[in-house]
Formats: sequence, structure tokens, C-alpha cells
Amino acid sequence: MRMLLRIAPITVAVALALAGCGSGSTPEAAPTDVPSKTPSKAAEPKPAESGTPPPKRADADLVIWADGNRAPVLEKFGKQFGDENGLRVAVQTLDFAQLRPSFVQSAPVGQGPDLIVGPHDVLGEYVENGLVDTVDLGADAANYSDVAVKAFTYQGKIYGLPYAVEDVALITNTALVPKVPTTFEQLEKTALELKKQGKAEIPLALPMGETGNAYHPYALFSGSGGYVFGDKAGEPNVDDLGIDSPGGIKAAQNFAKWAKEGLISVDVTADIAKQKFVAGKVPFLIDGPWVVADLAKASSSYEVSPIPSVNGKPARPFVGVQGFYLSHFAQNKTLARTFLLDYLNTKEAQQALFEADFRPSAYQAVAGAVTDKVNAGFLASAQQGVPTPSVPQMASVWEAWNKAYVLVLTGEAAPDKAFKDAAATIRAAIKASR
Amino acid sequence: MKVGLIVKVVLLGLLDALVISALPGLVSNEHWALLVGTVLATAVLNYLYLSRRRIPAKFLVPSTVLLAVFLVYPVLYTVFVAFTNYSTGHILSKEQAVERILASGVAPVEGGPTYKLRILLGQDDDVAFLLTDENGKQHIGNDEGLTSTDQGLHPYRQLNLKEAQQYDTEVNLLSVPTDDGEIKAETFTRAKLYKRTRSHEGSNDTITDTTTGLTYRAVRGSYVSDSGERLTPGWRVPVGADNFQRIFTNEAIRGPFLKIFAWTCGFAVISVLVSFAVGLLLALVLGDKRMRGQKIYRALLIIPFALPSFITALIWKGMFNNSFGLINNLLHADIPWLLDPTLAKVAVLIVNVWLGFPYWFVVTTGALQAIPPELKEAARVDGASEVRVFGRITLPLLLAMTVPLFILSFAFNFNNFNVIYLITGGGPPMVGAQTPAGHTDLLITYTYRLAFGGAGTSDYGLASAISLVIFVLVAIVSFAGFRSARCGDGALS
Repeated sequence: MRMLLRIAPITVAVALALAGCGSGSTPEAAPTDVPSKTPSKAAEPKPAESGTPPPKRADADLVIWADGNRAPVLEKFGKQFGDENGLRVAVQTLDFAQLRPSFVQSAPVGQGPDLIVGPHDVLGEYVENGLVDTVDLGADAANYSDVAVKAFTYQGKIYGLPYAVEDVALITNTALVPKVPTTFEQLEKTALELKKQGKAEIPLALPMGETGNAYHPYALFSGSGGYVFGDKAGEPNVDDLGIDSPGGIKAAQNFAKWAKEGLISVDVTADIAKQKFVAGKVPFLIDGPWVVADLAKASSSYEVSPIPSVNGKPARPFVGVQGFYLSHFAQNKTLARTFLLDYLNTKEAQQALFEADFRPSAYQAVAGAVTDKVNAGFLASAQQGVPTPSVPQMASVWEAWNKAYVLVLTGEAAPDKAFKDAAATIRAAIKASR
Repeated sequence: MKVGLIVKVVLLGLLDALVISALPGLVSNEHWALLVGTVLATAVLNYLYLSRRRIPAKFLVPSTVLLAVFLVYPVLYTVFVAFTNYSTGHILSKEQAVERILASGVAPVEGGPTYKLRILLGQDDDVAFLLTDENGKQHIGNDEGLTSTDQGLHPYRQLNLKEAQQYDTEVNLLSVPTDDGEIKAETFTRAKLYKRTRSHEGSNDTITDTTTGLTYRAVRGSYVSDSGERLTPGWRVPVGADNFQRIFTNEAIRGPFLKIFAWTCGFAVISVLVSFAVGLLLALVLGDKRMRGQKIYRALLIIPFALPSFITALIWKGMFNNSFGLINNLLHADIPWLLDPTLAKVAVLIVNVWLGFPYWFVVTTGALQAIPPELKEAARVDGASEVRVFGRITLPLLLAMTVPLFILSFAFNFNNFNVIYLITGGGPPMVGAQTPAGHTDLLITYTYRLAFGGAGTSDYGLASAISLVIFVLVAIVSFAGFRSARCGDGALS
């Protein structure tokens, strides 16, 4: 019995780490604030160090939870709204990766916020858990880009108010490549040529890493003819998985070929890709607006453009949409809805949000007036993208798919086998979750 | 004596104040069991410390209370959760879930009228709406229906947003019945016509949807129609041993289980033994009196232990990178450290030993000093060589002292989530596995991913069940270890 007592604390800690999980962040995800960048990474809890308890709701009339990036902007907004109406508005700052799990834990017990900021890909989980309310945008929905509205729609209803879109685009080092290629085949040729000449250390910096990453390559996957879920009346059809469809297998073979000729590599992580690009050793980088701040340090100039078509087929990246969710357990729901629909749902507010946050705006009138070339490049890329599916089943998809990419890129498994196995795993997981 | 009394009174007073301030919350949340328990415990504590007798209890009771709060309660809670369906889609209580399902059956009528809204307050603090329709005509709406404003607003008065905000809940709940549906506030300035499509029959616990005509029955934490359609969200409900059954019968979980279990044991044992060996070796070397600069070396060797493993593990991960990592660059080699199954195992072991040896270095340094020098002296006098002295005297005595630490260290490494998760994420992936299993996955990382699916879906019930199973495994292994250690003890003495 004595030894049992000694071991108990460890097991309890582990049990807590598991059961209380959900809070914390991986150091990897922390610095970037990349919402949709592989949600599997962005939302994972801090290992072992069992969760810090979720924060308590601030004492105010309207409480908004946001991550460190967005909080200052919203604070300004909230203050203005509060001053105009004589209300107390509190913006609580949470670690980005803590937002989702904290909300899931706090909302049902009345400690959650009225509004929470977040990417659209957690929508499925929020709805399945009954945590968020629909927001009836009515005719105002037309003010937002289609991809944004679609992303915030779940089972035919709109939840939350979108405000920004983000996605990966092609970032070209114009010192190495003066003219941005218009087809992927051109890009491939140019990149490999530069590598041969010793001018490029990484021909195409596509963030991958030893743990795999199915998010960044999606544009090339879809350009090769693959898809994740089929479409059923505008909703992702989880019974139609496209990873091992003929197009998906073709894509896997393409990736194997690109890895073999040295165009892409599993060794390139997001950090390495960024560093080497800044150092001028990379002609092409595929990444999102979150790297722009770092690219300011780059010695050479760069251009942002949509990822070129593969074999003539458009390359559609995953688009993440940022927005505000209305908690079903909001203490002041009418006020929260008033703030959302009467205040944030205006061009002035959306313009200010855009200016404070570099992400391209989801509000068409704001996005249309953008003059910044970099921003316009990401926006153009988003316009040909598809929203990352927000169904909870995506969790199983990322996990297996990330690994399939590793197997393909290392040549550990034949491309068709790797993707077929991944698809089988995903189907089994989806079946088990029913 | 006086000071002791004052401290006692102040501390007890603080405790009582704390408990009393918590009581209204407990009452309003209807936590009756917790309420009774808290009050009883407080009463007992007051009695114990105010009475002059009961000396032993004064020491025992506080530690028992802390044990219960920090150890027994989490354990019991984990056991409890293991027998429920607590997971994504089942995180609410049943009342919350029913309320939520009914609320999502209230939808704005498409193309229905929209009203400009002002909030009115009656004399009994009752809330009503002042509605202006699209033709500019005003109505007063309350829970009885619409009336005209011909008689003015009496008995109501109009509120501004700040005042209205005090009545947020009432405004949110008020629905004005009309022939076409009900008018509800959308914001403080706008109201819409809504239709209610779902109703809950409490007597037979069913939910009926009037638009589809379907009836949903409560089945294991969800309302399910006869054709198998499910309403979201569900709620938490005990499901018996289902989670355990899933662990042992689900092919996806069972599949790579044995392989992973073997590696987990191997990882834990090798980590402990090698860290111990390295630590002991360094302790012996640095313990030698002829060694100069002992303090500096000792300080340097503690560094891996003092740095947060989160950071060092990520740095090691970077150093192991195939093309850009420091190790391959220094060696001018092309070793696929994290991509080859065997090398990845070697890599995580290297890091774990690096993280773990300072602990053993400290422990063995202390233990070596505790071994009576006379014993060694006597052996030397008897003509034993240094190697023999070490093998026959030092090592056995050292082991006898450190066995409990071995068991602890083993249990820790058995569940060493951080190192695996941060360095390889369990990878490289196993080819052909039916679950996302990797060659360096420990049981804890593997099941963590199964239970939490990376993100998005979280199955707390399954996770708790798995942690109980792991607890049993670790307990068995540790028990066996202790038994054999005790045999060793016997042989020594």
C-alpha cells in the first residue's frame, strides 16, 4: 500500500493532465498566433503540466475574451462602446491556445465571456457542445465575403460575426526571382534551377516538419485534384472523404515526386522556412500573413501572390476566418448581440479592426479599398480558397493526414498506400465518434 | 501563549469568514452535499482547535483534509468521469442541454417583420417592448401580447441603453405572443418575429420538432429520433464500463497497443538505468578528492536539470533536424535522426538521459557520502581491489538507498509526456497502423491523441478510463519492483 500511495500523486497528475486538459499551449504554437495553421497544433493543450484553471469571468457588463494580439484593439472598441452607453466593458486576454479549451470549460458553469474571438474552425466543436448562439445577420451577410460567411455557417445557420480572413499564399523573393511564376511547373523549374546554381538553400519552403503538416500543402493538394470532404448542400459531407480519391492519390504522387527531386522536404519547419527566407536563401515560401512581421527583416524585397495552378488546375488554399462568437451562456446576451450587430457590424468598426490587425478584412467594402500589396496578395489568395472544414471530425483528419505526408515525403511508404491508410484511419475515427 | 491564542483566533476567524462567504454561492448553485460537508468540516476544525484536549487530532485533521481535497477528490473524480460519456457534445448537464435544444428551435421567421425597439419598464419592474413597425406604427408588447400606444406608454416608462442593460436577462427572455409567432428582442434596438418549433414533454422525456414532425427520445445522453437522427448538444450521463470496454475491444486502440507498451517499458527502464549510470559515474569522478574545481563542474552538471524541459526539448528537436540541425551539420552527416524509427528512439533517449542524469548525479553524490567510509576501509584492509570494493560494498549500499527513487523515476518516465510530445510528437509514424500511432509514442502520448484527437474532439471519459488503466499498469510494475527490491534488501542484511 505504501508504494501505491507514493505513485498515486503521479498518476493523479497525469489523470488531471488528461482530464483537465484542454488548457495551455505548446510552445510551438505560442509565438505565431496562427489560428487555422493546423488546428491540430494550434489548439493542443500543454502537456503534463496539468492545466491552469480557466480564467474567471471579469466583473463587467460586457465581457470579451481575446488573445494578446486582438485584445488591445478590442479594448479600444469596447471602451468606446462602453463610454457611449455608460457601460463597463472588459476585454480579458488569454493565451491564444487557451481560448478554446477555457471557453469549453468555463461557459457552462457561468464563468465564460459574453463574446469570444476565435478562428472559425472551432465552430463545429462549439456548436456540438451547445456553447454558441446563432447570429442573424440577415441582409447584412452580403457585406462579408462569401468565404467568410460560409466559414461561419454550420448546419445552415450563421454563428458569430466574421471580421478577417487568412490563408497561405506564395511569397516570392524578387531578388532571386524577378518575375513571379504563373504556373506551378514554372515555379518548380525555377526553384530547382536556383538550387542547382547554389543560390537557393531551400528551393520551395513549404513548412512541414518531422511531425507533418497537412495545412500548408493543401493548396497544392487541391490543385492536384484532391479534396477533404465532399459537398452536401453546401456543408462538408463527412461520409465523402477525398484524401484517397483518385485526385488525392494523384496529389500524394506529386508530393512524392517533388520530395524526390528535392523541391520540398520534411526537414523544413515553419521556423526554418521563415529564417532562411529572411536570410535570402529561399526563392519561394508558402506561408500566411502571420510571417509578414518577420519578413520585414528580410534583406531582399518580396511579393505575395496566389499559389500558381498545378497542371492548369487552380490551387485552393485553406482559408481561416476570424470572428466573434456569441456565448449561449452569456450573462448579458442582448447587450452582447447589440455590440455585435449594431456596433461591430459596421464599416467603421470593421475598418478599425482591419487597421489594427494585419489580416485581410472579411468586410467587402474594407477589403476592396486595400492598397497594401502584401495584404492584397493574401486577399487574392483567400478569394480562390475554401474554408477549412469546421466539423469536429477534422481533428481526426489532421492527425492521420499529417503523418501520411511525412511517410510520403520521406519515402517511407508508397504515396498511394500512405494516403489510403490515412483515409482508412480517418474513416474509422469518424465512425467511432458517432 | 498569548500570541499563540491570537494566531489561533485570527486563523480560525479567517477560515470561518471564508466558509461563510462561500455559503450563499453554494446555496444558490444547490450544491447541497458540498454545503453540508463544508459546514461540518468547519465545525469540526473549530471544535478541535478551541478545545484544550484532542492534541493528536490537531495535527492529523488538517493533513487529512488536505489529503482529501488534493488527492482523494481528484482520484475519485477521475474514476467517476471514467464511467461517464463526458466528451465533446456531452459537456452540459441535462437541464442545460434541454434548454439549449429548445432555444435552437426558436428561429427568426424568414422575411418576417422587423421592429425598432425601445425597452419599457413597468411599475413592478416588469419589462415590456416599445415596438415600431416598418410603417412607423408603435405598439407596446409584453408577455400578454401587443397593445396600441393610443393611451401613451402608461404604466410604462422608457429606458435608455444603460438602464435597459440592467434588465438584460428579462429582455432576452421576454417573448411577445402574436398570431404569427412571437416577437423577441434581437438587440436592444431591434426586435424580430420568431417561431418556436420544438417542445419538450417532461412526462415521457421526449422532444418534438413541429417542422419535421419528428419525436426524439432520450438515449444515453442524447435525444435521438426513431430514424437515428440526433439533436445537439447531448449531456453528461453515466455509461457504465463502456469506456473500458472501448479500450479493450476497439481494434483501433488495441492494434498497436502491445508494441507501444513494450517501447514504453523499454523507454522508462533504459532512461532510468542510463541516467543512473551516467549520474553515478560523474558522482564518483567528481567525488574523488584529487579532482579539482569540483564545485564548478557540479554547478555546470546541474544545468540540464535547472532549465525548463519544455525549452530544452524543443532546442534538441531543432538540433536533430536532418538537414538544418546542429548535430548533422557538425558531423557533416546526413543522419535521419527523427525520421528513422530506431534513430528516433535513440534520439529521445539521448535527450531524456541528458535531462535526467543531473537528478541521479545529485542523488548519488549525497548517497555516496552517506556510506560509512569504515566499511570500504575494512574491505581495503582485507585486500579487496577498488573495483571489488565498489562492486561489493558501495554499489549494493547505494542501491538499497535509491530503490524507492528508481520506482518513482520509472513511474515518471513511463508517463513522460513532455519529452516525446515535444521532440517527435510520437513520430515517425508507423506504416499501415489503423490509428495515428508512431514509433516513439508512449502509452500516454498515444492515448492522449486517441482521447483528444489532436484538437476539436475531447473524450474526457475515455481519457480518464485510460489513465486508470495506466495507473494499474504502473502500479503492477512498481509493486513487482518493490518486491524484488525488498528481496535484495534481505540478502544484504
